[in-house]
Amino acid sequence: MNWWCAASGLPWTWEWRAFPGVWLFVGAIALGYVRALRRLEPARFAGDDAPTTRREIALFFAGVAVLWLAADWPLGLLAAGYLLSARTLQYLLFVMVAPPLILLGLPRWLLRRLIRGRVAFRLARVLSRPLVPLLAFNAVFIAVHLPPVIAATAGSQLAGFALDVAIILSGVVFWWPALARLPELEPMAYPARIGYLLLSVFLPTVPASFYTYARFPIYPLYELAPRVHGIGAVADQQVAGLTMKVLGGFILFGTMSVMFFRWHRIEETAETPRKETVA
Amino acid sequence: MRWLMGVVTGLTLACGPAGGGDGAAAAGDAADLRGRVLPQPLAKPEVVFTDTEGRPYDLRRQTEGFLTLLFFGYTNCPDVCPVHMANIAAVLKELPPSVTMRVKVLFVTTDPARDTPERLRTWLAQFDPSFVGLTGDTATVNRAQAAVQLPPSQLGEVDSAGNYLVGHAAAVVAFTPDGLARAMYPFGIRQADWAHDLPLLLGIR
Repeated sequence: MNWWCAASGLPWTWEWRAFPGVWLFVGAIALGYVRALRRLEPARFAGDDAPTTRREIALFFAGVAVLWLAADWPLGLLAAGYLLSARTLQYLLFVMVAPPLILLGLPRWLLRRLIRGRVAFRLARVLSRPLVPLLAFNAVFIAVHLPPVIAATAGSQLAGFALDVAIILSGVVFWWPALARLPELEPMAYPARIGYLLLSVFLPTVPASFYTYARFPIYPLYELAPRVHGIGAVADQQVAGLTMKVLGGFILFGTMSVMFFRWHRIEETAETPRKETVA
Repeated sequence: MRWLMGVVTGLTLACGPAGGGDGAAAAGDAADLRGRVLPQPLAKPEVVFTDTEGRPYDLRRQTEGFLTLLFFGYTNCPDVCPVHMANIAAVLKELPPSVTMRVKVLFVTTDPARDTPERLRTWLAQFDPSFVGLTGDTATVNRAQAAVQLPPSQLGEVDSAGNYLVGHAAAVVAFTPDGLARAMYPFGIRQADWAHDLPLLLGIR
C-alpha cells in the first residue's frame, strides 16, 4: 500500500489509486480545527476577538480541500513522478492557495491561543516582519526545485511527505506577514505588505525562465518518466514555467489589488472626518 | 558549494547550445562521448529485415554512410521504448539539418506477433515519421542482437487479457558512418547527452 504519492516508474493510468496517508494528513488538520473550535472557543470575547464566523469556517475548509486536491491522486501522483507541470501546479496550490485560505479561516481568538506562549509569540512576531519569511520561503523554494533534491526524493514516500510538508509550511510562513491577522504583532502597513508581495512576484521568474526557455529537460525524473498521453518532456517543462509565472503572478497581483483597495478605503475613511471638520 | 556550481552548470547546459558550437559535426573522439563507449568497436550486423512497407531492408547497405541508431524494442513497451524514441526525436528536432540528415533511427521489433507493419508505422510516426520500423523472424532478430552483444529478447507471461511484456535490451546502439558500433546508450541517457554526442559521433572515423 502506498501512503503518500511517490514516483514509481510505472506507466500512467487513469485508474484511481488510494493514498491513505494523504487522507490522514488532511483529516488530522480538519479534525484538529473542529476540536479546537468546539473545546477552546471562549464563551465571552474581549477586544477584537469574535465568535468564529461561517466565512472563517468555509475558508478554512476550502484551504483543507485545496491541500487534499493537491496531495492526492491524480494531481499528487502526476506531480510525484510524471509531469513537471503537475508538480508546479501542486506547488502553487500548496503555497499560494491553501495557506492563505487556512490562515484566514483561523479566528483571531484561536490564533491568539496558538501563540500564547512566550516562544510562540516571539516567533509569530519575527514572522510578522518581511525578512525572515522571505528568506525562509525562498530557501525552501530553491531547495525543493533543485534537480539533486528532486532526484533524491523521487521514489521515497517519506521524503515526498517531508518535502510537501516543508512546502506547505513555507507557504504559511510566507502569507503570515502579508495577511497580518493580529495587531499586537505590529504587522507591516499595507504599502509594505504590497511591496513584500511584489518582490515575491519577481523572484520565481528565474526558475520559470529556465523551465520556459531550456532546450532540454532539466529534471531526469520527468524526462525519463513514462509519458502521459504522449506529452513531451520539454513541452511539459515549458507549461510548468508558464504556470509558475502566470498563475503565481495572477494570485499575487490579485492579492495586492485587494490590499491596495483596502488601504485606499482605510485612507479615505481616515480623511473623511477631517474634511467634514474643515467644511 | 561545488554541488551548487554543478547545479547551475547543469541548468545552463540544459538551456545553452549543445556540445560544440552550432551542433555541426566536429572531428570526434570516442572518449568525449557521454554514452557507454565500447572497448572494441563492433561491425554492423549482416542481416536483412523487412520494413513497414514489406520491402527487404539490408541493414548494412541501406545505412551505409549514415550515423545509425539501432534499437530493439516493441510498441507495447510501457516505458523504455517510448521514452528512448521520444528523447531521440526531440533532440533531432533541435539539431541542424547538417546533423539530422545524416542520422538514421532504426527500431527493430522484438514482438513481431503484435507489432504488425501498420502498427509499427503508426507508433513510430508519433515520434518522427523518418524513424524506420523493421521486423524479422525471431532467429534473425536474435542474431542481430547477439552481433552487437545484446541479450536476446524474452516474452513474458501472458495475462488473462492476452497481454504480455517482452524483456529486451534497453540500449540504443550507435554506429558511426564508417559502419562500426562505437557506443551504446542505455535507458537513462538524457536529451542533452544525445545532443552532445550525435554531432561527435558523425565526426568519429
